Amino acid sequence: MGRYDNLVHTFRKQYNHWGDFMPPYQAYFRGHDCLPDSSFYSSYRCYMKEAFIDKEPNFHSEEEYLCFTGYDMLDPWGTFDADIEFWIGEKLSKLEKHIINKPTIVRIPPFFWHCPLQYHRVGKPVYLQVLGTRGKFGTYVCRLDGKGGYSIEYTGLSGQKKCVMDPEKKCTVCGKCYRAREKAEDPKNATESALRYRSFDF
Amino acid sequence: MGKYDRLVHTFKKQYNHWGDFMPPYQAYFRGHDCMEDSSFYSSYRCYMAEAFVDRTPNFHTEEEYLCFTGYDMLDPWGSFDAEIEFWIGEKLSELEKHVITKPTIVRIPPYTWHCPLEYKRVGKPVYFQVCGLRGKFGPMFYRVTEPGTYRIEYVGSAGAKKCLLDESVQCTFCGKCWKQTLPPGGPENATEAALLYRNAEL
Repeated sequence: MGRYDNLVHTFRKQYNHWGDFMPPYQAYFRGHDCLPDSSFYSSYRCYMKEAFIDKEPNFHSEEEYLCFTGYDMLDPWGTFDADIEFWIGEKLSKLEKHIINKPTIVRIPPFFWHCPLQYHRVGKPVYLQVLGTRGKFGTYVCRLDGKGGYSIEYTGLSGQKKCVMDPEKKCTVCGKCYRAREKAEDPKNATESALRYRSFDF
Repeated sequence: MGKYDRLVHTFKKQYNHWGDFMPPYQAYFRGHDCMEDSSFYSSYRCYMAEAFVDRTPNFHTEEEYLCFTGYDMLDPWGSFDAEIEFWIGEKLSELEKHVITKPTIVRIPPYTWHCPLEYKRVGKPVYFQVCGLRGKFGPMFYRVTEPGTYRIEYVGSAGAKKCLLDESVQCTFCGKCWKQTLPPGGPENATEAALLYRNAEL
């Protein structure tokens, strides 16, 4: 045992169940959950095929970076071949569409709405790294009540969210509940999702 | 042109000259230099063979994370096969040795000495990512000026350091000057380098 073992974290394999568009396991560095006092959060996983997971806009209270590169870090340019649709904006009602087709990093300032995010074409696997500048990292989403009203819900991660299928465990964003939570009224693509909020007053 | 183009940065290829232990080009997200008001810094490059580049302990005023994984992000575990020697400590005179043999992330708290760092054995290329939680990112070094005296030198990077070979351009850590800046008779390995400071007053 060394004095500074508390600063060294060995990644653990987390098996995931999102579908065949992701490798069978992923890595996460979940800030406080992995190292006490950490003020950082990072994900390590690829998208191997077209996918539309991040369907709703969200924001955080801390700065976030989304990094899109090819999967082979010996050549993150040569192994990048994809078209990705991404929306961002200060106002939910005025989200702006961006198409990412080169290795790119996006800065999300605190309280900026971002997403939906859709992998339209994936010629080669895309490495998406989510980088949060806080140890406890969680998202805020806008919930519509179907009657014209809404609320802002904090859906905390990183130790604050329980597994939907086994409340004894923490959510590891493994994706097992993803299909079960899908609804018929969910948007079919990123553009449809982003435009749902055009009449909002914020 | 979109309103939020300033938040989207396309990575640019930076050719490097460190040697045949690195790919011919690398990527950096250099905080402020790439994106106004950014509070993040990140590198994207691999070590393909044994190397001893980071020979001198340094610290930062901001938190930093060093992430070591395999080069293939579809399988960052399966593509990891290396032994890396790394030193860290609150006191320069009491650096502690760590050997990294699995995908690992290391937290460097502000003002904590870290390095030397040596890639002792590289069976497969190692993806090494440096993540700094500030837009302007620069290390501080301990310099002995004459016997019995020292100073702490700030070696600014990310916009604060000029190229040694061409002062009209910024340093991009391309490595072209690396060999010629090595002190004659310098340490041959990480252990030797770390033990040089056992009598330091810090």
